[in-house]
Amino acid sequence: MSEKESPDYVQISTAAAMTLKIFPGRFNRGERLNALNLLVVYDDSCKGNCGYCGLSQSRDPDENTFIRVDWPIVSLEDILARTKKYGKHLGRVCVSMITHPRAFDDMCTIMSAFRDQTDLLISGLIAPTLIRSKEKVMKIKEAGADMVGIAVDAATQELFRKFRGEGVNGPHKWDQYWKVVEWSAECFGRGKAGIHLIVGLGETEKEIIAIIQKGEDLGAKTHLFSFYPEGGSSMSNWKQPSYGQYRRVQLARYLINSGIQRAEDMKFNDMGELVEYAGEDTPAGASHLPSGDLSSNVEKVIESGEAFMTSGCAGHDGVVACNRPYGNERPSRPIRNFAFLPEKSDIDSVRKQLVDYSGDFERSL
Amino acid sequence: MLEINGMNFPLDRVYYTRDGAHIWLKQEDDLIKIGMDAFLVEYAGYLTFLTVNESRVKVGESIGSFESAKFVSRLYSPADGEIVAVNDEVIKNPRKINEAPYESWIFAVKADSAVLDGESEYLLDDEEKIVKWISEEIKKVEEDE
Repeated sequence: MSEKESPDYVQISTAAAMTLKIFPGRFNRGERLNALNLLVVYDDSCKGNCGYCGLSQSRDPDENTFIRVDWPIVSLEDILARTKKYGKHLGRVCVSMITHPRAFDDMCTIMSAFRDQTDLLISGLIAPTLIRSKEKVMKIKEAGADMVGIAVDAATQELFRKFRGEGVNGPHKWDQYWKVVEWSAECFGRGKAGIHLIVGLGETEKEIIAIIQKGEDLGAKTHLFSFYPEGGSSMSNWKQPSYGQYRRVQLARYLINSGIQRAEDMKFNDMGELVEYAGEDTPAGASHLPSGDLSSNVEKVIESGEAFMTSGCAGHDGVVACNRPYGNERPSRPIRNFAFLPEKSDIDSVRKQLVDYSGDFERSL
Repeated sequence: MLEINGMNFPLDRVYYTRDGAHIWLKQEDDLIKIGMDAFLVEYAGYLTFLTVNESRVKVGESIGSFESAKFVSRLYSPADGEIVAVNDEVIKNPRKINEAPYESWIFAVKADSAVLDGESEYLLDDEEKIVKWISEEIKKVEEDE
């Protein structure tokens, strides 16, 4: 057994490693990370085999990135010390389980250490396959977490089975994930449970927007991710979703999670693409989103830019702390999740993306 | 060798400072080898992509770009001239620059005219001036944090 396993050691995201001065580097456009992302670590790794994941058992062992970047293994003691020294602006820490028999207890141990030694709010990103009772969810709260996330990832049961379950000889079950979402919302309260969904696993916009609504109705907000092909994974040759697709889902998520609109009031074309929001007139002769009428609610939301910022767990100030700068794209590419309020030039670009149904924006890059 | 805040700045070369370029230049025979200084490497983080796109270069103009997991910027030329060599090793594996910035030249230029003659305000080889410049750069970064 390696000496570098949880709970004494954890993996830490590149952004968190930079923030704690373990890695060199700064963020493009002066961005700043507001939440630490930690991952339990074991020699024998995750028992899942998810097709898109950097932790998959079947992945090329020479590849070691996760969600696009390196995750160095660092001692928990060192992370706590550095958090106290360099983490004054941090609002939250998220401790992620993997599907490993020791992961639950170790996640709780790590959370308790943060609760006892820092002022950070604490999230747990939990693995439902290992959580078989509501009492176990309560233990996460007792360990210090005020929020939990469940990485459902795939927007439909069929895609879940294909990429996470039987389709890849993986252990995960759709129904079990949603049962834990329900338990989490009950234990932590409405809006204190979140689901992770990845845009671009083959779902339609209509399908993922419906599942965002399902989460909202259960009391769980959606934290949205854009698929990124991990080198060495079985989906390494897949493309990222178009910016048009991603922007429309981002906007719908914001409208649904803010209680402004419901999924069933939105209109979709034959391809399942979102073409109209509730109560919004489309421009004459057009079959897509309005693009200039600031009198409408949707236009106000677009103009504010907030809908296109990273969605995730909030800090003490109620603003998203888990802002994940450049988590879904290289910094040289247009930003998918803004870690800051987009500027006017960003919004101008977002507007073009929202009404792009043919990939013109990608071709213009 | 000059050490400032744990970063090394060898005095056997000249530093190009314009617009935060942080480029070093070293004369080798009739060529000038060019790379990134320790401050820029620390600022950018572990490099993942590096491109050199041009063959003719003009001082102050972008000749390519570099990128890390969370940062991207242009690479600027400190001289007018022709790029006669590009270091393929660092193009293929830019992290070599993080490991040894002063051994990892990126491109070599045959300059149109004398560059390292001490005329340009943007070229520093004086120890005192380098210390002042880097100290100011560190202060700017600290103020942003």
